[in-house]
Amino acid sequence: MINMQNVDEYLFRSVENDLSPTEEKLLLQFLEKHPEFKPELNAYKQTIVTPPAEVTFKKKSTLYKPDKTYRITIMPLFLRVAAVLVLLLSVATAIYYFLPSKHTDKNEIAVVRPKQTDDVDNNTTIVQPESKSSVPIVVSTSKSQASKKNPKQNYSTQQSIEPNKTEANSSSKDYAFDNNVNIPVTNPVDTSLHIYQKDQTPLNQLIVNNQNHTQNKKQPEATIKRRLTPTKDKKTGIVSHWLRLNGNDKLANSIDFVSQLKDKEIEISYSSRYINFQKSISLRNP
Amino acid sequence: MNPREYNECVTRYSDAVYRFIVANLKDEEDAQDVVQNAFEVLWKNSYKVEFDKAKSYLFTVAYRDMIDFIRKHKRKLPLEEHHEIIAATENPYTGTTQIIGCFLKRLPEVQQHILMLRDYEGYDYKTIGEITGLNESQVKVYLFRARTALKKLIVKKENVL
Repeated sequence: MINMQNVDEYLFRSVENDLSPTEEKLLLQFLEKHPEFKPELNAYKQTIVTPPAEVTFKKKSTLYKPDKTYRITIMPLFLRVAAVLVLLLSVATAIYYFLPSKHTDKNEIAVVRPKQTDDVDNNTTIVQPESKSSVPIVVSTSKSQASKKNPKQNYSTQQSIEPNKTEANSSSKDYAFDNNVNIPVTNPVDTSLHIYQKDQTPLNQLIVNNQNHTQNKKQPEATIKRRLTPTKDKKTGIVSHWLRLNGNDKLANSIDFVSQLKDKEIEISYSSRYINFQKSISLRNP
Repeated sequence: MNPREYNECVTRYSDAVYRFIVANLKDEEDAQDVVQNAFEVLWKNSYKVEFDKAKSYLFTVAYRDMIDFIRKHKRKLPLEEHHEIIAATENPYTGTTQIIGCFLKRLPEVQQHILMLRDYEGYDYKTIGEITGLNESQVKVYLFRARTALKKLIVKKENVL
């Protein structure tokens, strides 16, 4: 209810736009009854001060700060793509070189390292033979003291060789075939190599006295060197094997045997209680 | 608030803050110092001040800095300002806006500040309370007293005329 005592409050609230529609209507009715308060309302409306619009802050430029987001140079799209590709390529290269290869076998006990010559096509693979029965010539080793802990392992290599033309004219020279096969021999005491033909006829015998290595308790390493010497008719060849234990030739005797060339291929097998090694040698141009 | 938004605040609000401060301090140099300090504070705290709240924040900082400045200098009413008020009161041909401006200077400082914030910037009672450190009821009371005092001066002058 508006009266003489609170009319100022309503007038003030009217200027402040703080009245409800109902209160606004009541105020208008009161002013109709008491028109002497209309100048009061006008005076209240004049109390609304207006800002001097011409006043501006002159040092506005000193307030601005550098917008660093504008200075960020965004790499063009093609550069970003190129960077990603380079990164992926680097990662792939690193993985290829540093991760262990699936073909790497740390338990590998026989390694074929073909000699790099111009006239030899070294294409050597190592596979496990399916059975010993396919071996035409058997070279077996027997040991007086053999460790039962070592599992038997089989190796087979196939190699194609191409004879050197200049050397092929001379029967005294070998084919460029000189591979080293490193075979670790465990407890190599009195290692004997028995060479048999397919019909089990012994060709030669090699006695290896290796007692010194038993005392050292070192893992000796046997190296078999083979050399193929073609005969005059170039249909047959002589495969020579030299056994070398721990780099000492004196401990090894050389063994020679003749292997019949059949269909331009020589198969050599090396079999023992622990190792089964099979090798096929084929001549391209005998 | 990022630098871009801060610069937008400078563009939008620097004039308003300066207008409010210079109307109270009556000295351009002092008002510029207060405004620059307010924006410097805003820049330092820009990481936690949202863009929507920047105007209120600026006025709050500037207002408190202005109050400190006034208390520190204990400014007295300059003689020329006193003559200006007398002239405005006595001169019947002075414009209403100029008269209101002169009457405004007669009000207590807090009432002047609240009236300016209300009429210059259109702030509601709550925002004015946040800037001045008062509650809404206090703001409303001060505003009522300010308008009533001005109304009386205006009515008195009209009666004189």
